[in-house]
Amino acid sequence: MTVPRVARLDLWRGVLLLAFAVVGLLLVYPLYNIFAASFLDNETGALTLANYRRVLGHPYYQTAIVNSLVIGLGGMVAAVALGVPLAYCVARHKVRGRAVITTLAILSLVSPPFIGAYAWITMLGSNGWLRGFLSDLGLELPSIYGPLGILLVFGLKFYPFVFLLTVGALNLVNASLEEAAENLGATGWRKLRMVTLPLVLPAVSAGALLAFVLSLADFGTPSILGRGYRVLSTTAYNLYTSEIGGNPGLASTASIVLIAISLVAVAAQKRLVARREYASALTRRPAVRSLEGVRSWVVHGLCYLIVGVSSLPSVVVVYNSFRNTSGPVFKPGLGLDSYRKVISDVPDAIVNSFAFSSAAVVLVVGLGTLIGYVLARRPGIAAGALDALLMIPYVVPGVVLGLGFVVSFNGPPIELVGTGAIIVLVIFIRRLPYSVRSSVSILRQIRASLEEAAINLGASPSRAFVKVTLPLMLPGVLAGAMMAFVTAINELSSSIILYVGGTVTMPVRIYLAVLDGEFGTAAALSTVLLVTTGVAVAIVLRVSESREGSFV
Amino acid sequence: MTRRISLRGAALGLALAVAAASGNALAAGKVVLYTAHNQSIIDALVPRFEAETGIEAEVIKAGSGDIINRVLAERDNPRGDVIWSIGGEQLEAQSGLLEPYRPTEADKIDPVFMVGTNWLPYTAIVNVFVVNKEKLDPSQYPRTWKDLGRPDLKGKISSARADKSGSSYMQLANVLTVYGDGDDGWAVYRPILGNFVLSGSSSAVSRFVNDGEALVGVTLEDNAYKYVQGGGPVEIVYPADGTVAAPDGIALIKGAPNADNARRFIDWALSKPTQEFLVAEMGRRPVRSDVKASGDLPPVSSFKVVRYDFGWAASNKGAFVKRWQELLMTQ
Repeated sequence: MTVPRVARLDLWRGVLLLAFAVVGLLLVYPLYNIFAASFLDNETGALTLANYRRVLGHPYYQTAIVNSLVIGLGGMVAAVALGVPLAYCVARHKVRGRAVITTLAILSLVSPPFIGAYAWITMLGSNGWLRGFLSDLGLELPSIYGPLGILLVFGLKFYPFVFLLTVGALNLVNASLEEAAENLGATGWRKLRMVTLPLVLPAVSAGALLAFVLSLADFGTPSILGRGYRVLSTTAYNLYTSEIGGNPGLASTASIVLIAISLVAVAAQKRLVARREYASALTRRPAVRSLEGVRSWVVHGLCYLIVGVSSLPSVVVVYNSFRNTSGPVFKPGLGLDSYRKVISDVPDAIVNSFAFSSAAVVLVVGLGTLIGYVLARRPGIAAGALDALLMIPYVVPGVVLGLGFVVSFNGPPIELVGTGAIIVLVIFIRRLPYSVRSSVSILRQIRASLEEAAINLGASPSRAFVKVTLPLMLPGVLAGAMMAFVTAINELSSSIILYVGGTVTMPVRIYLAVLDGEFGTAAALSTVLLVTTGVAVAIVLRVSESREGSFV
Repeated sequence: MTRRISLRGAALGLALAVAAASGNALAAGKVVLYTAHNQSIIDALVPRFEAETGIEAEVIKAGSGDIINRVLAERDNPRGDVIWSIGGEQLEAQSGLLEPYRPTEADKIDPVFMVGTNWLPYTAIVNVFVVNKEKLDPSQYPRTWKDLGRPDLKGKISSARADKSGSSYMQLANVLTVYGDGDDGWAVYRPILGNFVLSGSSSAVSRFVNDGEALVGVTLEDNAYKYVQGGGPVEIVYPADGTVAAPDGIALIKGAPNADNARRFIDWALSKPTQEFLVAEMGRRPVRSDVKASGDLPPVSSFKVVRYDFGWAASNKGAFVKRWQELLMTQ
């Protein structure tokens, strides 16, 4: 290749430098500040281990740590228990309405979790209709508030990760292996346990890890459903916002503990799958069984029960948004009361949400695509280091990064607290790694030789990228942009700390409305979010080739 | 960048509408309000103010603690103009952040409420219990603060956190006012806290009781009254051992960027029509002597009211909240 070396260095080295600057400023610096604050005495500013002694030693915080582990592991187990059987049913049987099942699973994945929390309160709260219905059938359920309610929401929210990843893996299992097992006498459950499940373990555990880390990090659900049940994310938030004795040192320490638990989980999963990378030659796709009789009923029943129940919150939220209200109390009959209220409430929250999310998506996709290109096509030590740094947002809860931003940008040299920009930037940096990863995987499917041909024909590297590679990437990039938009517009845990009145967003407004008991307002705004999310997902499904792959 | 986007629509639309309506409005400018009011009250009042004065109101809703923290943080470069409806003791504690103002109709305000150093009474607030009348028989209602500590109410009482909610702090101070702020008073409070299921915001308390998640809630009268008015299965109980009838306040922030509009807002908030509106629609008690409390609500003279010492509540707040937190952590 006769490429003008200087030009190439300029463009891609520039991207690398920019990426390091952005990651340094928006990720490393805020987290460093949190880390440093956890070792400082609030009053004297002296170095101390007192914060750690207190968080790790006092029963009050120990309870929060244990509770966090309970809902993290519990959310993970629930997600696996729902996701793996569903995946097995869908991947190995001729199930009617497979696209419907997948779409419903995806929709419950992308809808904000606290909408689930809110909807389950109206269903299974003390005077919820579902509780009443089940009670008439003689089934008395425990309170929706507390750990069980949280696990219900997490299980139904995060199982699609496990489901989508496991379906993908099940489809890639070499049928010969399972047939060999059968020939050796292992059938049914034994074959499943000894051969199939170990083969898909890397995928299942990756989904489980996601469910664990996200359950651990989630703020809205335990905050709404927890009541007395405190976890680390809500404890850190309370410690920071407490009116008197707001305690940045302890809040930072709780945050660091939260990150440490996530890191341990990541390491554990890595270790679990370390010796289990099964290369699949994919000589033959596994058999898909036809279903008949009872078996068909059971499989279809299971599939539709899972996706049906997980879609229930969305249906309930939309229905609630049309119920008549008198102040905070729901009244018989349907109408547009709640929508009128939302619109007269100056649609600030709606406008802000769209403005912030769009701005964040432009940044995410712009830089994400360029970084993805560097990582995929120009590997090196610097690119590797950047890749590693970009893992950080996966294990840093939104509440923690929000705290880091407040601490870092509340005064000179960079004063952003109270602006919309700070909300855009926190969403940007949280979503950047997802965009980078998706660009990398898109690029792996586009041959580098195409671009090299363009360069050999006289195009400059940047021109070759823009004219040849970028158009090929576009469908994937658009799908990635829509996914970034969906996660951006549903973001709560960092913006709850960073918003001010003028920069309130829909999720924050919904959260506040739920806390205030304004359930009608919450339902109407949630419906706006759900519809927006649904449209974005429809676009992804339309433009993206590996449908399910875009969502995990 | 994004801030401009968010404000543009609202500002333009409003400016145009108001300009068309009143002609002189473009010069009226804006006022920035920091408030702990419920969204429903904001929704009802702010459009009226804007329509009547042509001033654009930018509302920042937050918990009262967050508001104080924000005003403190912005001390050198104030961005807010008015603190609107937060607990009197919090305003008293930070009266250095406030600019005294004598409203145009100051003589109409009942002097018993004029207790603030640099702030004005906005509405009178009463601590009440809200009970679910479907799940609790009147014979089981708690009638006094002491009753809240009854063993049969363990885990059945909803309350906000005293370190996060101004009204919840006032309820703690209420108990300490009645039973003393020494070990005796705290001994009364300890089982009460042990029975509480805590939430961040006091607005949620009545919701929990209305929905039957809790049987009893400790909250402010106006919040409970909304659910009574809405037809919820709830009833209000006035603690027989004494409730503090204290005003929540409104205040001009020192160095307010839109101070003239801020004064106009305060005058408007204390005007007879606004106070009547607060009484009729919100179940709040007025601070003006020429406005009567809502017909549904019992007059203040019908239940036991204890004097609330704002200076005491404000100056002891740090110590009380700390003790409250320690009590909570050793439950």
